[in-house]
Amino acid sequence: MADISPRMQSYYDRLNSGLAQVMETAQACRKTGIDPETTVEIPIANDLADRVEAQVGIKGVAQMIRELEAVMSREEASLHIGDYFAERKYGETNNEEILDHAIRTAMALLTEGVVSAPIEGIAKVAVKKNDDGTDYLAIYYAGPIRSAGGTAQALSVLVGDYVRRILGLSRYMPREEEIERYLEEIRQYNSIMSLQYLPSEYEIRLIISNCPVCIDGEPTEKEEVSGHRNLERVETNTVRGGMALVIAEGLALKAPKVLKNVKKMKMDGWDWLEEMIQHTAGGSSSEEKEVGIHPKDKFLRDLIGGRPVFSYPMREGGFRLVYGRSRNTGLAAAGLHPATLHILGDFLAVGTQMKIERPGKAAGISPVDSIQGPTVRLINGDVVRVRDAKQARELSPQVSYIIDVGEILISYGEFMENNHVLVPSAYCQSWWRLEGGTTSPADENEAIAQCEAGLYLHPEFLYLWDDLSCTKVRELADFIHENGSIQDEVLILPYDARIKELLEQVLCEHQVRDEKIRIKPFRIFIRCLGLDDTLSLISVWEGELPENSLDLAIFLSGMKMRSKAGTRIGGRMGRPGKSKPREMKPAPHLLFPVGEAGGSRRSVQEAGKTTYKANTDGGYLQLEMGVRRCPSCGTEGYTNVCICGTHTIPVLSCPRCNIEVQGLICPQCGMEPVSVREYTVNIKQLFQKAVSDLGIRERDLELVKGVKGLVSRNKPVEPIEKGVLRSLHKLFVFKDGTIRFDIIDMPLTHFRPREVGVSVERLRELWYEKDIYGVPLENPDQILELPPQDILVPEGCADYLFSCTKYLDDLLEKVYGQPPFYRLEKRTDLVGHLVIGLAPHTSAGVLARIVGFSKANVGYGHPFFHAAKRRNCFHGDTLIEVYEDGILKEIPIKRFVLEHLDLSQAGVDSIGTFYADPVRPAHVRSVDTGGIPHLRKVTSVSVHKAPANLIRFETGRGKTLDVTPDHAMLVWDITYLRKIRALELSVGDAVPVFEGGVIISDRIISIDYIPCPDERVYCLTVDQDHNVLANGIFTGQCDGDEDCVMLLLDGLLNFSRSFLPVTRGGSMDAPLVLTSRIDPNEIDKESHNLDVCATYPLELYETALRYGNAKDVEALIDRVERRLGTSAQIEGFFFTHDTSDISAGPLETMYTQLQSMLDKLDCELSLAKKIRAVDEHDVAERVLKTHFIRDLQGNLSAFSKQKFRCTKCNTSYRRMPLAGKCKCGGNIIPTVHEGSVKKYLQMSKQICEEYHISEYTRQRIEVIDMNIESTFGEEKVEQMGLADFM
Amino acid sequence: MLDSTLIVERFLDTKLQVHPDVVRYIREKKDERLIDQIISAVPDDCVVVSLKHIPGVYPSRDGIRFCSDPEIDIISGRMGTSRPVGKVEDYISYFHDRYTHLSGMVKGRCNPVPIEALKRNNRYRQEEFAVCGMVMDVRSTTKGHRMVEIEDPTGSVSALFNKDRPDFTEAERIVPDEVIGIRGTLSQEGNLIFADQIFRPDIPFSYAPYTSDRPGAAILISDIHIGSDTFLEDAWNRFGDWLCDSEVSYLLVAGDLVDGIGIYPDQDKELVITNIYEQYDVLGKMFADLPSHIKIILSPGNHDVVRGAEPQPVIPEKFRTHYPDNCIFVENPALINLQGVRIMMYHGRSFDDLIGLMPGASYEKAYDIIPEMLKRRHLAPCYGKRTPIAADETDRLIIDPIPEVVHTGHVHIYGISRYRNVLGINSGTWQSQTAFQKQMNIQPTPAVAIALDLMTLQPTVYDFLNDSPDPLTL
Repeated sequence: MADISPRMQSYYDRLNSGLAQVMETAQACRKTGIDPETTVEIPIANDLADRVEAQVGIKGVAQMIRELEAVMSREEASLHIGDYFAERKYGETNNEEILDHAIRTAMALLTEGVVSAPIEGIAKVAVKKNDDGTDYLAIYYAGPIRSAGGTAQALSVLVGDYVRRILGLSRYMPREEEIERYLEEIRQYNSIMSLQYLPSEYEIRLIISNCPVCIDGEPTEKEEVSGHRNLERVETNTVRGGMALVIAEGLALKAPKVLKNVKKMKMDGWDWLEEMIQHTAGGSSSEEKEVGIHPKDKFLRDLIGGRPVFSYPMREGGFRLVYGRSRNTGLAAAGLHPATLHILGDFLAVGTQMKIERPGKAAGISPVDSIQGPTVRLINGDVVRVRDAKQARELSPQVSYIIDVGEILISYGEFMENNHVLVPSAYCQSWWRLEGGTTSPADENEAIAQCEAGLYLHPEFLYLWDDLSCTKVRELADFIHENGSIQDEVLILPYDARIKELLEQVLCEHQVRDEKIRIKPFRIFIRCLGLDDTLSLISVWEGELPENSLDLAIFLSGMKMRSKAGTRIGGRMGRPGKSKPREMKPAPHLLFPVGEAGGSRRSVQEAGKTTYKANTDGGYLQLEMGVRRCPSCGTEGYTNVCICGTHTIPVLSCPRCNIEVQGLICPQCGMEPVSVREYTVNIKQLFQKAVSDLGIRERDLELVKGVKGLVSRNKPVEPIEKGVLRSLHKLFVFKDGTIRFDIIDMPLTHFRPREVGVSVERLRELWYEKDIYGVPLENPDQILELPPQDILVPEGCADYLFSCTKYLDDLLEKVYGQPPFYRLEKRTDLVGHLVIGLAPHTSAGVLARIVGFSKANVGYGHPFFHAAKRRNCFHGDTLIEVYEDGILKEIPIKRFVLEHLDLSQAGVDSIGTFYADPVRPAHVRSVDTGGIPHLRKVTSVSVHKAPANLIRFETGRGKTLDVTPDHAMLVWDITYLRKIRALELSVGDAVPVFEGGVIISDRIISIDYIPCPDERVYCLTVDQDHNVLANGIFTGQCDGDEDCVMLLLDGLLNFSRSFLPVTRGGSMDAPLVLTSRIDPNEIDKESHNLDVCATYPLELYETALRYGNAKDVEALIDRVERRLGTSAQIEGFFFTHDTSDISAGPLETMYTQLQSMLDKLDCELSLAKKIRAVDEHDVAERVLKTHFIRDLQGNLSAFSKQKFRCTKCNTSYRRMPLAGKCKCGGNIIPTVHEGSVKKYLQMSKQICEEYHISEYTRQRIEVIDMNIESTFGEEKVEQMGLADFM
Repeated sequence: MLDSTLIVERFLDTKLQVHPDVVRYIREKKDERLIDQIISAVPDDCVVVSLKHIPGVYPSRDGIRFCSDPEIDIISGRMGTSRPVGKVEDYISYFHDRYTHLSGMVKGRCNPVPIEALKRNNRYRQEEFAVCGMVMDVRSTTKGHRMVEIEDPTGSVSALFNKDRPDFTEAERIVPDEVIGIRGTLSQEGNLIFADQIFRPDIPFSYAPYTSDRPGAAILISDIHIGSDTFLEDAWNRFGDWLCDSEVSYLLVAGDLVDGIGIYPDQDKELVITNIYEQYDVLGKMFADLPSHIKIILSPGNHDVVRGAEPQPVIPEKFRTHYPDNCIFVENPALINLQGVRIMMYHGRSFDDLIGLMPGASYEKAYDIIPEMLKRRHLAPCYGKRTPIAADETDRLIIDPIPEVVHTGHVHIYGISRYRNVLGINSGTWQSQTAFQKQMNIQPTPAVAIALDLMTLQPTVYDFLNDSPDPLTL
């Protein structure tokens, strides 16, 4: 770890001491033994070296890696590993073992010990004989090598060569027919699995003849080579996939990188790489350098009805770009003035995603009030620039036309990351100050005085001359000259529509009172028009005039001015921030089975009342729970603590030959041992005893909900007291025993005490002595820097956590007999307490501290805190069965996701993953752990960057599925389903498959690694069961994008791995790994582009003027990347633009308040009419084309191919059975109804009349209307006007 | 027991080869003595025993055909026959009508037992029996056998086709929703039939085509795709001139007259004429230039302006203003009678499904699919896949009565096939390879017209891609 400054060291000490304190309390509680384990089950994370050692399994390697890593780069370290192994330090006996260990450890190091596949990627290492009798090294590569990535593959060959030199082996001398065999085999392999890059014949020949190590492989494909068969030194005739990959995607593709390392290590015998690089490099064409940019309408392409457009690409009145990073903006977060948010119909709230034209990524919106707001024309004709949120809220009902939507703040880091050309910025305060400006002028005269002194005109007093042509300027000047008059400092003009329009284009504020235009600050305005105080044209007009209107204004006024327009950026509303935390429907309070007796709400009280026979007293249930034996008195039961008070230990037995088993596999049949037994339990008695122990009267306890059945391997149960307390405090338990709250995260680097609702003294106690300028903290307006592991939680979440602390205190006191830990009176006392910030699917928890509350429904955290989310997902063409608006259809997931995820409004996170709510309610088929199929709601869809390779599974029944390596797959385990990582699935495993309406098990017959053809993979989140039917196979899905927060004590105390559905070797829900300290260079590269300087250099603006490349000024701007490895990598961040309140502007977006699609559409179109920068006819056409027509056509064609469904047993039929009735007797109904086909027809016809829609689209609507009529018969209902919809 | 390998061996003993149709005929008749009768009846110079050698089976012409208009008569698919749909009962009656129609053809040959009877009494446990039903679901088991679930109005049962039985190639070609007869024995528990022979409605052996007594020629084309930027204008003009100086009395166009609008995303970028009315008007003018004595029969396809669900109605009135009156608009599918010769015109959208389901089928050999349709006596058996079907009281996609020629298009690759004296013509297109086809690497065979001599039912192929062939004279 890089060294850190004492101040940060004290910060981390504080965190660690807090962690130690909570850990100690948790350990004490666990000792009582009423939890499944007696120790805390969350390990504190280890670093890369430990991970590599664990993976390779050679003791002592971690220490060696740490030494090497401290001194050299990772690639060099992987080479030097060979020296250590050559000295047989780790118990190697022969050359082959040395080579094997060295190469495997190097591979694990190069892939950062994360993916275990490269270890299996090297099948074996062998020493073979050359023709001249000398030995040479042959490395056998197997299928999984694919997921190691090109660089690791190439470097593994280099490591092999380095170690063979130490051991004195000679180089590999290939025979001629072996080279021909390589040529044919690689080409044949490319025809089976298309390689990323197919090297030319010349290149392959060059590699094979010069590479000192023989690259061999195990047969991975079925096809055999036709020519060059039965070679003496090549054992197999089948195609060796691993070998072809290492040569094509490893050595050929990554030659430059290999060469760099060869030079560093001064290894000879590899200079042929230069020759190869020239050969390939020659081809790249240098496309011509055209200066300037053109409008990009990509963000408008798939417009979803109901999400308004705010500005068209590069159109007058659009968002004017200003470079800068505010405290609450940064990567994938842009700043807008709070007034803009209000004026744009409250559609943009804090945290709402917006899709912007440039630099191309969607961005979350946060309020920044140090940029300019919108300019609007009111109903009475006044034109006013709105300067603050309050004024915006008052004026918004009177706004009739939005002339300019104001400025947008985008950080330089965004342009760097998308390596986008820099574009001219609107003239802004920081640019003005860089050009000598000191104090901003209070009024016009000061501004003019400054200009006389040689300064540029201050942006506040700048007018927008770019949009006018010179003739219009002349026309304006003449008009003012003829009939303008000045009365007591006000320029009065007679009302003239033409002139008013010109004034509006120039963004000149004025009032309209009784047919007169009154311009208040007019001095600079008339000066720019070349008029003197008496409104007469000054002599300069006669001379020859520049063509450009801005130059003309400069020429006339004699004042230096820069363009106020700069570059206009298009923008559209994207995905609304999630306004409500995600609640699981029948969320349980208690992990205790109640079986069917609990009814649909699984209530423990109700379970208590069930009686099998009339007279017996109720509450006796047959429940399946784990078997635990008490070591002291030997009695067996299901409770974690035995009656004699000692902690019980789970007993595992093999279900098939039911003998007790100690190890992981049953010695006789190799089955997984489980611990399950039927108990008759009087749940009513248990419940009454628990309630009385807690001293609570049963009456004031509403519903305590258990779970239907337990899914974990050892099936442990929670003491009922926990459930009772949770239900008392209205908290819900997650499947691993903890209580979590979902939050949407936004980046924040600095905050003000006043914003977070915490007193200054409290903050000072928490470590914040000084603000960012070093001034000791006194008043609530000072700006404090947020360290990486401090977060602001939304108020809703704070209330939830507050009641959680109450629950934990009761738990400690009444159940564990420990002193209460939190003892909070009010919510603000939460400040300072530690929580675990969690990225659920990677189960990687990060220690964090609450330092305040945010009014907006977003959790503010440091950009590093939100980094690194890995996702598991499907290849694009996987077919999923979707039940949507009444149609059950099988469509490729790519189409489903893209239809539902409007890429342009999807939320994006720091690693380029787009996620969004589905546009229309859709259900997919999923199966619960008991193996019963359900139709579950899709909660969100996402598109992710594709990993290097996918895994292709083929089942006996001919179904195939391509998924990412760490995708969660479902596997049958006798009676229930468990999740297992795609990596760990092996041939012969039984997977749940869905055929003909019933779930059966199907064996995996082949597992194959395929390179991922396109660079996007797709996934969706399914409610409750979190799995989906893909290509006929049930498989897991990613758990969506929500982060969540849980109290540290709750995590340490209640989390137990044994609650989770356990899988063979490392499960998908692996135990929570808690990283106590974020190391910036271990998180992903995207967050290194965050710029942290206080001001941008002047060169940035100048390069932007000439559309220079972002990289030209990279050295001048202070970014995280340039601070990596130093102590300043996590502190001393600055920002260029301040904002007064991070929760300004509307808190909830209008989009979620409007219910029906028709209201949303009306709002969208009326807003489009109001904004000058938006062409409402084009919006109407796009909505029609991308949303309505596609929906109409899709439903119509689906109607004539629809499936059928039985009302009673919900089995679906591909067609209407002949009998007309379902097997269960229920009658059968179609799944696509006439109504759902015609839903948008009427509205589309309406739009066609009201807006100028292109003839092509208009006719398409006509044709669809005719087809619908010919399918369903005449339209019976009478014509409805738009008024009916109002 | 009568098994096809046994029968073939018997014939080989007498150094005679036998046509598969004959083997199937013998197996259906299930009597041994028929083999000896055929062997004795075979003239000694012939090597292959074919249908004509079976005593009692003479290809008979089905008498005189009375048709109302000697020139042209539309038997089915006239304007206005296809009705709107949408009620649940239509679906029940649609499949019911298909079942009764097609099972009638099968019942004659294998006298099936209602499926419910199998479950009722266990008389069928021991002996062999036959059932007839519509395929509900078909899939191959892990070991490669074919498991078929068939149903009839009384019940449903599963049948297993063992992959080692000789008849397995037929079983591999079973598609969902076709009606088949199965002869086999029941398993012990009584819920699975071990099938060993399969019956299809099929064209009877003795079918002989009816040829016209007067000379006449019909030109069969399809997939003109007016309005697309890849439409071959000059090839069409050559075709027009060729028609003027050939003695042709009929021109049949089986679907995809125009490229349409909104058929696939961003189609407007590949359209020369983006207005749908204009597309039809231009086509109308082109037909007007053709000699007026030629009767032009036009049926819609998936690119046309009518609904996608088959049977597709006729092109609506407002698109037909500029058409000469020798143009006759029919539905898709339609059966027309040209001087006594019956031609079934169907656009061929079901090729997409059938090619997907048939092992070894491909777009290049689409003409092999037409015999498969004839075997099933149904133009688009599979429901719910890519061919949209509008459920009506009656199933108008059934091939009944048996036509002399089946004329299809849609796959843009021409091909001719013959199955039991029924001619299958798949006409090519007048549009060169589109971007989509290049992507799917489908090589179309553009600018080819197929002429059919109504007297001899001989098809001849005329290629207009580069130059115009010599005119057709009868």
